[in-house]
Amino acid sequence: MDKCLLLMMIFAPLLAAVVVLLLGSNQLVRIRQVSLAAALLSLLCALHVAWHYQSATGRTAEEPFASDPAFEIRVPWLSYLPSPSGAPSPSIEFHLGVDGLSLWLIVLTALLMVSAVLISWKSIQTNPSGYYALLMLLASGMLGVFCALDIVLFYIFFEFTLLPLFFLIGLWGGPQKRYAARKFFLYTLAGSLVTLVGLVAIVLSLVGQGQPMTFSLPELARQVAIQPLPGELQQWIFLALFAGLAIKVPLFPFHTWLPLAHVEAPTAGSVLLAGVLLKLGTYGFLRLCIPMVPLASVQIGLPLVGVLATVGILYGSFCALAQTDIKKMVAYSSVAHLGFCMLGLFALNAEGMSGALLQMVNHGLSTGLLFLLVGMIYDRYHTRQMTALGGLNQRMPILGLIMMFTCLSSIGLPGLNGFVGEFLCLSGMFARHPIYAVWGTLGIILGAWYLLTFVMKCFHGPLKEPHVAEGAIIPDMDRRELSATLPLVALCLWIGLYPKPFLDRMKPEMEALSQRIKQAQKVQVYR
Amino acid sequence: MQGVYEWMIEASRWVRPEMLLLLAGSGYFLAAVFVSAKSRSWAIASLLIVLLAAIWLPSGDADFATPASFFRHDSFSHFLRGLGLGLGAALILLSWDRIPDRCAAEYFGCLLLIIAGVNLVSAANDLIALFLALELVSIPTYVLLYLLRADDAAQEATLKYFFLSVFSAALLLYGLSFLYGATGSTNLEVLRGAVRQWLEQESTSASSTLPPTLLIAMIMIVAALGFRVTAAPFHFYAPDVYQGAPLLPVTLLSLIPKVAGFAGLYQIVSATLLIPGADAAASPLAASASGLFWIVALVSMFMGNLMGLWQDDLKRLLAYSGIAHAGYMIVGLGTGCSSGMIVEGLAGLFFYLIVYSAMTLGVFAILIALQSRDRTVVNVDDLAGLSKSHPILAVVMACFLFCLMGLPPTAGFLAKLNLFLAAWNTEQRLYRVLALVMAVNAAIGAWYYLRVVGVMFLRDAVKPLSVRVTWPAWIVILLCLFIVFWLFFQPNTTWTWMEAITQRR
Amino acid sequence: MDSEMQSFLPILVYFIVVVGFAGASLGISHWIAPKKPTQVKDMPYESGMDPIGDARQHFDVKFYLIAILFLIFEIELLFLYPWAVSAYQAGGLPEVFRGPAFWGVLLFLALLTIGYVYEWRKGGFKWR
Repeated sequence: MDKCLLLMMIFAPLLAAVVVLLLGSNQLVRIRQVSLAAALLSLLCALHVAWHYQSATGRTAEEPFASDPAFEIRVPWLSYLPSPSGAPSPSIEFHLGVDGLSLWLIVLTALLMVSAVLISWKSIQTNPSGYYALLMLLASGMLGVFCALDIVLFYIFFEFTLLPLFFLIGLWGGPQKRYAARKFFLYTLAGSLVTLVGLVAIVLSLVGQGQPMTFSLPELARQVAIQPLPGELQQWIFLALFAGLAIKVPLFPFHTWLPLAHVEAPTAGSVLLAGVLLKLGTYGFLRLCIPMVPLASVQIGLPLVGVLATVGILYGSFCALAQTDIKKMVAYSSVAHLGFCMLGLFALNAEGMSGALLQMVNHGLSTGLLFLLVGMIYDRYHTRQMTALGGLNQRMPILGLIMMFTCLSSIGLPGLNGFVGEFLCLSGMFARHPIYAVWGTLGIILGAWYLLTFVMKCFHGPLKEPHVAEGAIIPDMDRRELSATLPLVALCLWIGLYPKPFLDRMKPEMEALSQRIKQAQKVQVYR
Repeated sequence: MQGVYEWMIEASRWVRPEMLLLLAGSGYFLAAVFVSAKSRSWAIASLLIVLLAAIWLPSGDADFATPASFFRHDSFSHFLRGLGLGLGAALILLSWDRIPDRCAAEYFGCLLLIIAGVNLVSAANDLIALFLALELVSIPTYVLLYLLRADDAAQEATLKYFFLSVFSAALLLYGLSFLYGATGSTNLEVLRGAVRQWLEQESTSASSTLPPTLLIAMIMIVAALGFRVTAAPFHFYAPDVYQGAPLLPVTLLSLIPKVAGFAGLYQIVSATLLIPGADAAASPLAASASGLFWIVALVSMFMGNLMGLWQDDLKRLLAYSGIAHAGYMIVGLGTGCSSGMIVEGLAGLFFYLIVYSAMTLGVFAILIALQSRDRTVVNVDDLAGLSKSHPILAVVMACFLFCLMGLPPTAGFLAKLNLFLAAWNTEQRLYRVLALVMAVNAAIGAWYYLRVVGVMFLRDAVKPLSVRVTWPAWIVILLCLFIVFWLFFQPNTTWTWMEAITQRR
Repeated sequence: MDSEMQSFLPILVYFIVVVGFAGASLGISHWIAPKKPTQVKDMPYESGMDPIGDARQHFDVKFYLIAILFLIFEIELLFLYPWAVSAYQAGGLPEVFRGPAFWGVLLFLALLTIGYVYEWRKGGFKWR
């Protein structure tokens, strides 16, 4: 059972995609049921993994990489010639597993999938079988990235997520969908191809140092720990990895595809794009950059990312402030929030990095919620202009309440999830480099400004709504919409009030990573 | 020297499939003037002949090479002869009943001769055999280019191809004559022995003993065969010829000469550079050759992908895509000149060749299937709305295009990954740069492939296509699709095979 | 290296002789020939074509076709002649190859015949 748990989690949506395609677009009800069932099955698997995670890993804090990740599956896939030293022939493997870095992101993805299926329930009327099939494919791809423990398999899933999202934006998107889809696709593809060269360089440079060739991420990390790569090479590799990952995050000058893609994507697409796909970038930094090239992460990563992330926070916040389109505002707020996440990551200490990982989950929850709610408003009024809306609390008190809650969580009100993540990120960065942290903190204030302004304009004051047909009643949230949002709300509260179980499970990995960084710096000083 | 007859019969046993194809091809020309039959009948007969040839193909385990023989057979030629026959069968299926009855016999006759030519290139063990086999590919190709449509565009295309091809043949012959001049033999085995001797002398003596004519020969041969594989800067004919000629011969042109060209290049490279037991890296010739391949690969990739961005005509676009892919494959050839590799560049080259054949054939098969009398598909925009009129075909086409981009989950990704690994594995800074250049180029190339995908899915047609796809075309399309995915999900068998054939010599 | 270049010496000599002969014959004829020009003699061509007039003259494509056909069957002689004359003389082909060579030539002729029949039936020899 445990053996095929991850397989079931990843391939249930894939199977659903095939079934949905075979059903054809006429059986709308069946299509929704199958998709929802697959999403729920994935979620169940993910929860099972999270529940049994501690017992499945028998690891200790001292040597976290000595024990294997939990729920591992390894099948050789493409084998190369044996290396001259006589080691067994190296192969790219189908290698899945869960560790502290990926556990919560997997749960987040599975949870957001259910919401994404539920939110598309009524709004998608054209060619639903294609839509749900693509959504399910996307789910498989995203879960695959987080589960992959082989460097090539990671990249394969990473790239694979582009295809479904391209079609989701391009076919079911807004007025500028074709341009948005193409820009999103080419921008991210161009970066990630350079990343591929970086990955190849990591594997083969280690071979060049006399290590046996391997593509397994834990084994690569072990090899690097024994014998780090030379400093100059590390910098080149860092830059190659940075090219793809920074676009995906997106860091400040590479963010231009994001607002466009967000605005044009259908609601479920935006939710998954903001909630999960952006995390592929930050997760990539955490999984590849920091363990494989620790020295370069300190030497060039810290100043580069520090400056870009700080600028991104301020720039993103001001841009969000200037928007009148709600979705665009949320999109720019993503740029700012991911900036906090990057600041935490490149604090390069256990505190900052666990804050960053938590912030990834938080951002997925709160921004996911924001997009869901904006989607609901759009479903009702077919507009997202702040100027056209006002006093919606009178019409939809429940939606208003949840929106207020979400905004507060996104701002980082103590007691809610955003606070824990941002606090850890910034305090981690403060220990490393106070200047960035100080400027970053300014972003929280700006965040409160634009989010509260938005809530004030749209939900308070006299009722103002676009003209709707005579006699049409604008309903408040129904049960379907509530079930899409309430689990996320609950999780927000839980993380905000009692984050310990979340932090505990990522602690060994974070300790190990910060050890790695310290060790790399020590060697540097020693030299 | 007794038993020359026996020897000839023994030798001919190994090229029996090609002899059958040649006889049948000649027979078609004779029959053409006495019998009149439908295109489909000729196609069925040709398919049966190719099938018979495939049955007669000697197995890959058998090794046949007498030192002086004109032909040899080993696992390498077994693979490429199989590929040649497979491509031939696919082309016959695509041509099924699309050939006007008046020239059907000639068309299929030429096709059979071309298949025989491709196969003989990889079976050749002698420079003369190699040259003749390459000519056996090109001469019927001239006929095919002009046979189906006799208008100004086809005329210009044929003439252009004819003159440049003849020029490249002359260059090749000149290059081969230098090889002969340096060693005094046209036999590839003798050539290999001679180079090995030079290398051994070189390791003992201080001065260079390799004759400088070898390098001249290498340059000539790379230029001549570079023309066949449309590698820049010998690619200039390709877009014009592709645009002018009808779709069926263009399909042939984008596949068969590439296979033949790379088989020929490998034959020459393996005889002069990759000497078993000798350190290839120590050979100054190998160093020069890998530098040469580096430049050709770099220019081809950039030329193909950058020019591809501006194309509206589908055939021109595919021509430039072919140039770029030739560049990727030459990366594999260039890395093959280094030794002690874990990921073999040459194995990568042939793996790529299979994937390239499948994906390009797939795209062309769909384009051919979409042509009809009242609505031709010429420009990228003509594909608009394909996802509405032919949803399955559009999805399949998208798969091929994503494979051309090199995206997972298609074999195009693994093919590129192998070349990345091989290029980085050489430990030469130049080739590492080339790996980066490959990545950049894959990104540039993605733009124009994505444009086609975008047009198919995101735009509506002014006048929708209404053609029914015939079953022979479906067979080809689905087989290509199968290969494109099979090689991604189960690459190991094929990869091990490719490693084996390149280790053998 | 040097010895190798030396082996090309006869080619150099041959080259000099060829160029020298061509140059010499042109030069000598220019030098010793009697010069009595007439208008007709000064024309560039003497093969019955009037060289004065429009340069764009149409040649019937039939001429080219015949020329190419002639060439194809002419080449065949080029192969057959040395075989017929010297293969079976003393010092020609080794004894064991004489039989196979005969059948080889027959095959060659058979292939040519296919081409001939094809050309004939397609009407390539008709003067239309």
